[in-house]
Amino acid sequence: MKEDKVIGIILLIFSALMYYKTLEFPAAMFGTLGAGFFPQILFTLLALAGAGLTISGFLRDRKRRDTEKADKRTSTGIQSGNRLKQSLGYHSYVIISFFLFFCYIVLMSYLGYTIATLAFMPMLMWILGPRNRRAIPVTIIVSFGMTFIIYLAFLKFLHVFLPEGSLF
Amino acid sequence: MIDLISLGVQEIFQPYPLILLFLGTVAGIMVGCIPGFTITMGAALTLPLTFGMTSIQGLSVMLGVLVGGLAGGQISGILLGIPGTPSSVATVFDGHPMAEKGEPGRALCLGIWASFFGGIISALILMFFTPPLANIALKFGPWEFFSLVAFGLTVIASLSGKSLLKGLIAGLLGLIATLFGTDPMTGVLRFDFGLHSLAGGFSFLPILIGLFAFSQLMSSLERKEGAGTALIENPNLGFSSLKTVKTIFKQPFNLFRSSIIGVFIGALPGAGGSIANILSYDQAVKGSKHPEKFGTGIPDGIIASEAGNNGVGGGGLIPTMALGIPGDAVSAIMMGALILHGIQPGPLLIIEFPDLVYGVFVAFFLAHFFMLGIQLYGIRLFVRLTSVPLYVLIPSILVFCSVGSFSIHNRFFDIWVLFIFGFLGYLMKKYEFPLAPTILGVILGPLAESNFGRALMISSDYTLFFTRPISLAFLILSVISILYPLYQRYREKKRASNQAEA
Repeated sequence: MKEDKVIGIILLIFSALMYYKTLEFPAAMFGTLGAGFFPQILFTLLALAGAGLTISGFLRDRKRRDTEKADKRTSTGIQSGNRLKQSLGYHSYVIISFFLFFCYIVLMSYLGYTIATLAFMPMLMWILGPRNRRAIPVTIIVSFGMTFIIYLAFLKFLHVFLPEGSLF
Repeated sequence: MIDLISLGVQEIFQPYPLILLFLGTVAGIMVGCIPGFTITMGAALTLPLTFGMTSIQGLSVMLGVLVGGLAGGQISGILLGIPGTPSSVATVFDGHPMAEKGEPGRALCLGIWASFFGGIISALILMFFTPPLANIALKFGPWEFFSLVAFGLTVIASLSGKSLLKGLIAGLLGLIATLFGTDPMTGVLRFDFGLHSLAGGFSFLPILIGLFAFSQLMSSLERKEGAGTALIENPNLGFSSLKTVKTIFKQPFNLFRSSIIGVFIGALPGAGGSIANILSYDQAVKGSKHPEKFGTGIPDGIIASEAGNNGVGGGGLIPTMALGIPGDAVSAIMMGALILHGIQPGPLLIIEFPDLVYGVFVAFFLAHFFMLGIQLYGIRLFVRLTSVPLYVLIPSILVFCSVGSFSIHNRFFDIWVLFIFGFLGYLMKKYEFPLAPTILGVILGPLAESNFGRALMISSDYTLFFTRPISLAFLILSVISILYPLYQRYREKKRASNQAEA
């Protein structure tokens, strides 16, 4: 798998950077154990595992290349372009949802939980839903209902605060 | 023993815990029957609701979710042919054909009663095995605990995924997530990158909700056409319980074997309901006089798979309550709930809080009666739930995730943590990294580090980890758990190449 190799390298770099960071920690005052000791063990292990993942990815690739050498066909630019489009289509809801949730958090930090939720829910439901006439009342009822239920349940019954916005 | 159990009965048989246990069971069945939603997700989402409660009340809710979820997964499995949770995959093999033959009521009824008996057997084993195990663990020093944690993590890494390496990486990432913030031993700030919010580290709850709820929701959005619909025809659900129980008791050996497999698998760190479900089914096929009939819709298959996956519940709680080492992701959340209430799980738990531990046993036992009653009389409602469209469910649960993550410390930063770990969890799922080792790492990380530190403070001699017999045994077991899958793969490869040559 191509991804495995890349993930392994990312893990390697990540562990190296974090390991470097642990060197700044003050040394132990007594005994052998400083604050950086345990992290250093973990990042070493992670680096090893990352390297292992990359290497096993390469080994698998080589084996596959050996077996597929006979009918090797390089993919043209158009094909890989299509594949990208396909993958984007397959993931479009996921990407949009992650993006909307990101905006939701930002909005929440300014306007507070209730208002942000009342904006976020209908928007996401509209995007994911069938976008027909029947969906409109469902969207409105569920958005307001859910916000109201959470407001009631957390604030009134569980006595837990909701995130407040910085503007209010 | 009896007086301790009666202590637990006193804890649970009060109006508030009983109501909560009931509601938890209903919620569990709901989560269970919606395909794509897992029990772990249900437990992660109910956890924030339990802050305001006492610890036994909170645990009652979550035990209800566990039992309900394990049993509820069969509903969509039998009626739709899509398992509601990974723990009911094998239930589909015989449950769905039976439903197609025009006996959906019989299939469901068999599943419900098999779940019930499997769960009750596991509850009894839980009650009798936890105290002696805790007794043994009382003699553990920090060396043994560190080695035990190492064992727990390696087993889960090797069992829970397709690739051992990816399982290990997942576990390490969980351990690493606990490093941020103030070091528990020296008080030094680690990896805060100048961010004030990071000084407290990542909290457990937003990580949990991010990994198990948020990322799960995102994965279910992947198929574009999947977001709009999910429907089911109106089946005939009537069936007599008496006949069902008779059918089950005609094969006591199957029921008993499957439940025991469930308990054993549950008690092993890392192997959860999904493995128990398939393994008990597999054993039922192998032990049957008519193996060729499996898969055509016979009761044996449903009984084996459902008794097996409900047995897991009690099994998973054994190491959690006795050692403070959770057997799977759901018990890890249960442990997290205890920690949130200021109770450190471990072998001392049963001595310090016998009322709580026996309360948990009693609640777990009782939840099965609730599950039975709710499913037998309310199954029609749950069947309708499987047809709620995803575009309604997902946004509703997402906004719930955010407030749930926030509620633990009233910290806005935790919502960002939710987002980050939701994204990480999504990527991990996408590239086939198992998630259970990560959450176990998060739970066990502080335990591992503090025991490691304590051991070296008592004596700076590293060899003690290898010379103390119990510690050594755990370390050997963890090495075996890493090497065994490698050996297995090597053997398979050899066999494959031998076959290719021949």
